[in-house]
Amino acid sequence: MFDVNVGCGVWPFRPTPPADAASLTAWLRAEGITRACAYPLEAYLWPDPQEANELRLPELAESDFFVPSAVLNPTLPGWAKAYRRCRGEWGVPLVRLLPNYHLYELAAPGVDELAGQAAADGVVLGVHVRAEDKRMQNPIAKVPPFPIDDVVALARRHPDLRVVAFGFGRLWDRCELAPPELVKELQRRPELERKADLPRNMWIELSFFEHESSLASALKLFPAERLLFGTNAPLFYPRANVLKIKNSEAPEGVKDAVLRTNAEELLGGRA
Amino acid sequence: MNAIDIHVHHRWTDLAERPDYQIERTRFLALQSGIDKVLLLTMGGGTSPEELRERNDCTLRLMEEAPDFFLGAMYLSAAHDAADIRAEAARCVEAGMVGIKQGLEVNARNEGVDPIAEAAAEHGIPIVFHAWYKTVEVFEHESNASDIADLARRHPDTRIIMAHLTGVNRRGVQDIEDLPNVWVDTSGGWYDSEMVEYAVRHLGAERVVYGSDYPGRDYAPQIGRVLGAGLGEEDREKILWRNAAGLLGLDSDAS
Repeated sequence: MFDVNVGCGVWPFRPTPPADAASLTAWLRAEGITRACAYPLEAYLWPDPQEANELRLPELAESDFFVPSAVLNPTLPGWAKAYRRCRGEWGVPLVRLLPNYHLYELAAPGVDELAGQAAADGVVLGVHVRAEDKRMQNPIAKVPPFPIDDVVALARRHPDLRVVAFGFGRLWDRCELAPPELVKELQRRPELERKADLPRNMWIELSFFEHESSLASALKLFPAERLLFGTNAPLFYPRANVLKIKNSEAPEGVKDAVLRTNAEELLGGRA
Repeated sequence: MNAIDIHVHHRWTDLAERPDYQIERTRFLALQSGIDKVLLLTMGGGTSPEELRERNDCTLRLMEEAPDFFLGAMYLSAAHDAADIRAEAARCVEAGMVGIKQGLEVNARNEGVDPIAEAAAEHGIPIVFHAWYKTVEVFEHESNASDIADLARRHPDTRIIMAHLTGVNRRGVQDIEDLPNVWVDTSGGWYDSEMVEYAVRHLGAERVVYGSDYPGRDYAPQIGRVLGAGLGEEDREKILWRNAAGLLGLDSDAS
């Protein structure tokens, strides 16, 4: 299994199990995960996420288990320098944006420039639309989910860029990508003729995606080859998302694609 | 593995319109995740006594269809007369129901809940009561864990299963810590690490029961948070089925 959504470091709002690279490796391996794409958790709140990259990426890049990924804030004047260092020093194949924590829109200056550079370099751009349940956030730090439709718009503006939406969640989050009338049909019908209008260059990570039989619901909306397994460890128990895919009634070939081969094709790796 | 899911919703409210596909999935998907029995919950807010009886009848019909798998909880409405509440409770217990559900439309502090709590104590069945501590999107009458604690203190002989461990979170666990007539179910949003262990440290594994909140949620990841938590096998067994079997009056050796 190739887990594409792992945070390495310290989460500021509540205790989690130890999440340094070595502890994460042991924990995730015990769940049967053989490879993971990780990013520095401190990047959520530190004013310059590059300092978090500098802290965590060296140990992630040294590991055979991890694919390192960087967090950038393209509204900072130094984003391009940080990008070059993360590419040159640690070879990151994926750059992540946390726009709802770093307080910018995807139309902000810098985002399209970063997207163009990433597309030219074959780097994948990830956008995290949520990190935790908005209903139980620390009341001094309420961060609403980022609109998935804005991620769709970014993908459409950059057809040569590969974009991953991390943390797309409850299906009653109102959005154009999965409108309510389509979601309503999920639980009533075994098949749907009309799927969500997902851009051809966009993938959906499933750690927050949950509805009845989650993978089956996702397959009614999205092509199997655009779905990615993620655990959101250490914030979540990894077993939850492992079983979300493994216990699904989806064909074994589809499960294997979601659990492993889609991520390998997107990010490379030796899972 | 044995497991009883104490928090499963069904949407059959009109006897003439059985949602066959949804019901089939409720059972198939549970078995797929190793769940042997589920406690079916219905919703009854805003209903007349006659409408509420029909909803409870839908649950009873499902229990008849699969008596080894579907357990039933009745809905009782605090808006109804105490005599109606008592009569419906007696009818549903007589027909085999083993619990009561209370949802969002009445707060646990409301004295209208008292006849429901008294009926639960009289029949020796638990109430599964919605609870949450939310920072946003709080419903007008929605109970939080301190409201559940208030109800539990008013009715020490009534057993209450406070729903949504992750929803009520650490404050909610502390709210009920000293109330031995309150349990908490493991449902509530996503699968935050360390939450099950926290509940076990404060309440003991004896007062934590597995629940999924299906179909808004998915059995597999919801049971995954119990299977993936750092627990001993004996504690895990209690959470997955032994505690629920005791609460619902089942033969705990037969689950």
